[in-house]
Amino acid sequence: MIVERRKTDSRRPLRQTLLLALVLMLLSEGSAQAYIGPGAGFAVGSTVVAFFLAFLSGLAAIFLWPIRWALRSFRGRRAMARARVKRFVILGLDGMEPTLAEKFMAEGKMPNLSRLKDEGSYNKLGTTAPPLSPVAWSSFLTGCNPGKHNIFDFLTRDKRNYLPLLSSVSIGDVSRKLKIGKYEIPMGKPNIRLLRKGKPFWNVLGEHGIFSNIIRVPITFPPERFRGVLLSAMCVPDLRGSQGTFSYYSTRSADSAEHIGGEQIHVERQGDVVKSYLIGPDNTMKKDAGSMKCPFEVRITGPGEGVLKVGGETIRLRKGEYTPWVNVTFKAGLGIKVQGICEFLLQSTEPEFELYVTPIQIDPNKPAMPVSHPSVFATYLSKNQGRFATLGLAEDTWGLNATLLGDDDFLHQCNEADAEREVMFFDALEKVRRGLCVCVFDGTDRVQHMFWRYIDAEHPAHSGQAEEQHRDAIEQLYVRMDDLVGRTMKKCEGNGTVLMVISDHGFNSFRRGIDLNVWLEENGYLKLKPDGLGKKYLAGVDWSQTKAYCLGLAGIWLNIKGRESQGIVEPSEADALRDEICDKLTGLRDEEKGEMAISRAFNSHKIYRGPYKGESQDIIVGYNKGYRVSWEAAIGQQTDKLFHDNTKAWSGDHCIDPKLVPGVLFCNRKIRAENPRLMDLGPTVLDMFGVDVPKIMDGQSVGVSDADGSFSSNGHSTNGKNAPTEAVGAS
Amino acid sequence: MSTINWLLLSGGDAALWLLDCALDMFLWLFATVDVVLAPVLTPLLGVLNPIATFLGDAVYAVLDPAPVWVGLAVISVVAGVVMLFAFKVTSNQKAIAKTKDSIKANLLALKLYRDELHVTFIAQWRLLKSILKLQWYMLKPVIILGLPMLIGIAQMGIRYQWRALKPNEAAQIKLVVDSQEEVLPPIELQAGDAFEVEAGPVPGGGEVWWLIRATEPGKHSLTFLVGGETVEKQLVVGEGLDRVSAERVRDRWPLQLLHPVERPIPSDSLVASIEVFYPGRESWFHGADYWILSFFVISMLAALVFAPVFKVRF
Repeated sequence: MIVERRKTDSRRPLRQTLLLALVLMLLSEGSAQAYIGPGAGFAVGSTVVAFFLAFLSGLAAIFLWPIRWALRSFRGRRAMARARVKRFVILGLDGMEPTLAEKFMAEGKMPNLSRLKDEGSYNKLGTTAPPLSPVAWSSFLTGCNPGKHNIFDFLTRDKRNYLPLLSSVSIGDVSRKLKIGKYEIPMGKPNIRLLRKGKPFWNVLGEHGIFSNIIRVPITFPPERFRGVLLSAMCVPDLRGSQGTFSYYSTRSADSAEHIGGEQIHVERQGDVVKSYLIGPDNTMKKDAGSMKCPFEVRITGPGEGVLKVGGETIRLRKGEYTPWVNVTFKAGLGIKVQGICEFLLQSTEPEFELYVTPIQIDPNKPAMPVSHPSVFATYLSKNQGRFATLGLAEDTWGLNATLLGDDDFLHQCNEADAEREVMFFDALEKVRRGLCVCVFDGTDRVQHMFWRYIDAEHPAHSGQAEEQHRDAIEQLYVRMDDLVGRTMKKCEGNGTVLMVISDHGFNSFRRGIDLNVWLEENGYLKLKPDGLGKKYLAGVDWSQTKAYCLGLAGIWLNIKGRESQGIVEPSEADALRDEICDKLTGLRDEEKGEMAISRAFNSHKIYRGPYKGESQDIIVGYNKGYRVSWEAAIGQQTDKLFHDNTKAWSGDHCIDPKLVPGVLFCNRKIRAENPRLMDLGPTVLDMFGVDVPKIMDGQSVGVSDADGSFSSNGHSTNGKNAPTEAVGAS
Repeated sequence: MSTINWLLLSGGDAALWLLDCALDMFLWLFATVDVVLAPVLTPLLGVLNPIATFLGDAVYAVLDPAPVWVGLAVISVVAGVVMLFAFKVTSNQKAIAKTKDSIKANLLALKLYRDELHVTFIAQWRLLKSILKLQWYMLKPVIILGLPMLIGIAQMGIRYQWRALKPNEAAQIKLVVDSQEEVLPPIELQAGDAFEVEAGPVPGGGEVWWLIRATEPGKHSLTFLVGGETVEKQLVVGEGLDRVSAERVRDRWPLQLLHPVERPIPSDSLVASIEVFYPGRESWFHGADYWILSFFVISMLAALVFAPVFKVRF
């Protein structure tokens, strides 16, 4: 009987458990979640885990902090002992033009920058030759002239076939694959190589134990390892591996069309439904599988309204309103998926259906390629603030150029990108109290590129535009940036923080394009094939009789024997030829307009120093105000005219003589240098943190005063290598 | 040393005092909630329990040909998926996703900015807030899904926790009397064809005990005469996955939830409860106490697998 009694006791634990659960359910919903299903069970489980992890990490952080502090102090003792600053903040406003900034300050429209100038300092900032963002920001972050960092333009050329290549990054396929039937499973990561050389100054800081938070500084993709966090910018590709390919779905034409930077896809409307697909990256899992596709459907619910269904999500569409970032998934097979994000913009439902889709970007939450260092930094930002644009050139200038995107639609993209970045920037300022914070805002560059036509009455694209509506777009942008500066200044109050507001170059009008290949042909340096006119990517060039050619924005390449695959110029004659072409180009006049089109041309071998100067264009062209290389010449397409009116929305530019487009440098402290240059800023930061400037850097500290206004740094001297001269490729 | 001892003792006292306070608070809350819920849930369960038992019988009739463990696995998977979907429908998924993101962000902030002590403290504080917020978002699904899930689990419990008596197997029976009198009223277990009384009644402490031995397979009734009142209790004898009601209880909703098969004993009865001590079902997977563990593990795994399909955040 006793034995049986023990057996029957087995019911007691259950009863007690259930009763306990019941009681706890009434008292705390959390504990009862295990009883109301797995969803809530996981929720309570995960919160417990989160709490546990947080508690543990908190404890670890508190107890290990003194050890870390000691180690950090030991490692960076020399640097920190000599540091004259706790925190250095650099706010980059890409392309802020000094003349406009000065004008708006004088008119009282930019009170914060005026205050920064009055209380600290303001200078024009010498940019690089050529004054292009990838070149300039590379010089900024390495402290070197382009001959040492190997970035001379957005594009370079493939010496084997003269085709254009991205200059800063090479994205190759996975080297090893496992073949199983029709599938080829990648056995590793894609081969992504940063072609920019040189060491960023924040890496040097990191070696001395100083933390950096770097947000969207161009030419930082793929991200390099260092002590800090970094979100990559310019040259981060979209999911298709391009620098941004928008899609435009329309019932308008029976044919699909190709635009620069995007494609137009014809769709059929069946009743109220339009079905199509998003085009993703190539499916490398299957041989000859082509691009991966993600189907979507739009049900038109009324004039200018619809419902979008994509990837299991249902999103309401309204004419002229962007959707939030939408998650899209492309399936490669065998359960492998690639995730991206994009925004949709319904432009019309009647009489034609028109839908614009931004380039499909790498999802920062689950990046298909590394866009940050460490890789979880992008995830952190995404979790902290929601999804954000990751594409290097996030604002779709090509869509606006192709007139598939309206001015307001484009401005929305610029404002949204800036707003996303602002959240990141202020989060960094909140988190980093000791170290370096750098953040670059691109809106200034993009808006000036696309809206200059509204402030330049002589611009070919000026007439017929809705001038009133967007005449103040650039001014409003500057005012908005001034407000950003004001809020940044508040976060940088106190003696411990140095704040610099900088731009990598200025801006000017781009009224006329010069087809340099026509000029080269007219002057006997380039020969076209009989049917070569109009062919893109230099396909129409007769290489056997061509000494020089133009590709990209910055200048001219010689067709040198032994370097180019079909070169004809003897290396020994190259330097003389460079000088000859420079002499002829300098002072080139646009007789139709009665203006000088090219103020000067540089022999790159004379202005650059360093191991990579041989990789640059042979001649860097310094255009005069209002001029730039023509659209056609930039992509190696031969026309029959030397000068072309620029009628595109892309109406402002800065790829001209670097003397004409310096950047700006505002600082909350006095600066000793009279002619500071962009590449001096890295050395300046190192100097302020008491870190020796590496000898390879061409820049020198600009000499920032201490908090009390005195100069205790050995810093800047205006002689020697820091003199503002063309000789180092930065004027 | 004396200071340290004093500090330790004072700290211990303070901790005990806090624990006492927390327990008092829990009891007060329970009493308060009971007052509110009892008038609603007690009659409601009177209606729901027979329906649930009927549905349970139907489900188990379908699963009857399969081995017992298969039935439990199938039910667990289905319950996992159904509750997952129900959780999605009843919860604020956007808010949960946002809060979970915030938790993840703050955990990552701890890792990314570990040298900045102020970040550690701020992230900890934000984590705590997010976790509390997440609990708040769970309240609605808990309230909506709690009752159906408990009813479902009780239906499983009456099948897996105990097994019916086998013929010729003995079991104890306990009758609890609800009386303030020191002397119990006359209590008698009437003889029946399905069992033999081997010992009892043995009174003591407001309880009366018997030992019976089952003789005939089937669902039978034990009839008790208590001070002139007749109260019945189900007795199940047989093999297989028969449901058994271990206890017949008063009409109070927490007890009704746990023992759903038999009609509750009226509150004016002299009898508080009658319990048959059935043997526990023996199995490491679906036996007594283990079945609930198996159920939770399988249902959670199912939920984990199907969560991406239903796009559920939890």
